[in-house]
Amino acid sequence: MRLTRRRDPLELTAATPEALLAGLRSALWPRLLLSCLALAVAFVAGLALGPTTIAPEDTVRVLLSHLPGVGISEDVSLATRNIVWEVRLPRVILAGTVGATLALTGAAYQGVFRNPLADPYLIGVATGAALGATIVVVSDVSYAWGGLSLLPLAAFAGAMTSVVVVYGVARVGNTAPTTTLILAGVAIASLSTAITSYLMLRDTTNATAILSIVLGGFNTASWTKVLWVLPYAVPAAAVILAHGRILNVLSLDEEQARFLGVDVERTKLLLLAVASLAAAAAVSVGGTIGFVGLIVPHAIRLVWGPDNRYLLPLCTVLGAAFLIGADLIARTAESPSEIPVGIITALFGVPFFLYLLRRARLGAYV
Amino acid sequence: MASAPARSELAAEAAGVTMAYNSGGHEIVALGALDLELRRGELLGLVGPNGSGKTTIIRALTGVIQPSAGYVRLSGRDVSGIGQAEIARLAAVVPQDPLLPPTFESLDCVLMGRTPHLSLLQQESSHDLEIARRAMLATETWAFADRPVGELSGGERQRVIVARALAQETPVLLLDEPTAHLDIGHQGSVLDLMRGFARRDGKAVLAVVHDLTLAAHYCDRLIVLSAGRVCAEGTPADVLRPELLRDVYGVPVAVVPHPETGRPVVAPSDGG
Repeated sequence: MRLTRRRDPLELTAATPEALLAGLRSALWPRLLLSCLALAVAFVAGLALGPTTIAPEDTVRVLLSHLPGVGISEDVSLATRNIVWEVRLPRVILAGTVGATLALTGAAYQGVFRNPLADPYLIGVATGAALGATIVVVSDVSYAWGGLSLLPLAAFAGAMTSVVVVYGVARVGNTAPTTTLILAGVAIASLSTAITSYLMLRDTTNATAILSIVLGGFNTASWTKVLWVLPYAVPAAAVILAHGRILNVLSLDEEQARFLGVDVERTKLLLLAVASLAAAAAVSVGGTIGFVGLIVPHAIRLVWGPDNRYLLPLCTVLGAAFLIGADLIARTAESPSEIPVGIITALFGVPFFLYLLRRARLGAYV
Repeated sequence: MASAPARSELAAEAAGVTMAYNSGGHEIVALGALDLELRRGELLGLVGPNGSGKTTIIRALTGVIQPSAGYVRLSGRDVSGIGQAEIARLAAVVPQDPLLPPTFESLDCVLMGRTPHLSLLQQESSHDLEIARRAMLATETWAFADRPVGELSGGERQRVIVARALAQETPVLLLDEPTAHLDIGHQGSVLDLMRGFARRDGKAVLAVVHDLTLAAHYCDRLIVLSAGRVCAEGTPADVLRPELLRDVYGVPVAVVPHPETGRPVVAPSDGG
């Protein structure tokens, strides 16, 4: 078994409590800084690359020009400004928000189910959300009002239904073993996908809208969609991030968590609800994009260990960087046509998933 | 660790606690009208055959399961009326064979004992760290504070769990078979530690112990459980009588006084 060290060895003999505490905390900031650097690189690359390549310094200049008091220099053309600000920026921000949300909720599901393979896609939450969103699309109700949208809420209803059914079927006592959880998730995902496909075939007028939910992608990204997802994703992320220490306690068994004073049932319910809400909002704007919630948390665990107080913030930053990067590949690999980003994440994700399944079978919680 | 504990103050009590449930049409009584008192400064041993309800008592004392009749009080407060965090500030549990994520370091595990004292957004302070350090020094686990628990031996892991319970800073310590899977040296050192917590720090300690001789050697008082009921209660010498043990365990045993302490030593017997 490979054991990951979280930090340099502590100086146990000489240290005062304050020095020890500083040693305990020291690991987060360099890692967060490194992750933010990766995000910044992905962000600028996402703005600069595409059918028209724009110099990184010009993209930065366009971004800065929108800050109060900063003018734009004359040598940046209007077309460049529009490509950066109106076309690519909303897309990069949307991909980043969805990536951060999927990675963070993946880590939260893994903590709550105490199952390393829980992921919004694999446990049927994403496909349930897609079905909920599809029902709204085909029912022709006006689903946008006042800058908000009914889509995330309908997706949430679909996601919660999936999570309740899957967990209800899969649970043995108070945990959900890997095999039953994944099997129940696959079954529910197949059912929701079947219904979604049926609705799409029957309703040809909205087929494109439904297809973009099913395949997943950001080719229809806009500032409006950014505003649809943020009111759900940001509060949900705040709640999940606040539970890092408690999720560590929950990674013991539930009885120990109770002995240590955690109200287990209430905590699980709260985290499942907010994670499903955030994942559903992400699906309603980005479609079903698989494996982000699996790859990102596990890659971080493999390198930096399982402590949720580190894992959750790093997931948020690196999840955003990962999906911005995947979306960049999706739209540039076969330019001018696009590959759905879900195909890119699956290409990375499936080998990784099989590797994790093998480990889980061998009884190792990464 | 506790500040000037009032010895023999009642720290935990169960009165008429009954735990009954239905299984396939007939009623199973896990605990039948159980009365129990645990005072500060004493090490109380809970002995009895497998399935006699020893673990159930620990779960009832900490509000993890609700009795169908009777009540449980910790420091005078009814556990059914207070939250899980409040209970965890009054009684700490060392469970039997607890699962620990192997990559967490010992110190992380011990700091989890501070959970009931922290609000959601609070992080451990240097005060919490000092409490964890003292708990680890008392259990002789500080030397491997930064080792992952997956690398520790069974005895070391057991002491880390005890340190976590100490870090909860509770008047009551409840231990479910703390000596299981340990060799005789480690068994003795764990129980010696418990006796120290009771005598020196004035904690109220209840330990489930399978080995009757060990229980007799270290505990101030014993309770013998059988089928969810108390059959005997008192000093080891009062309680560990051959007739009673034969009735409870269903096998004949011989009880002789220890050559040094005079406390009972229980040995298998062929009857006769």
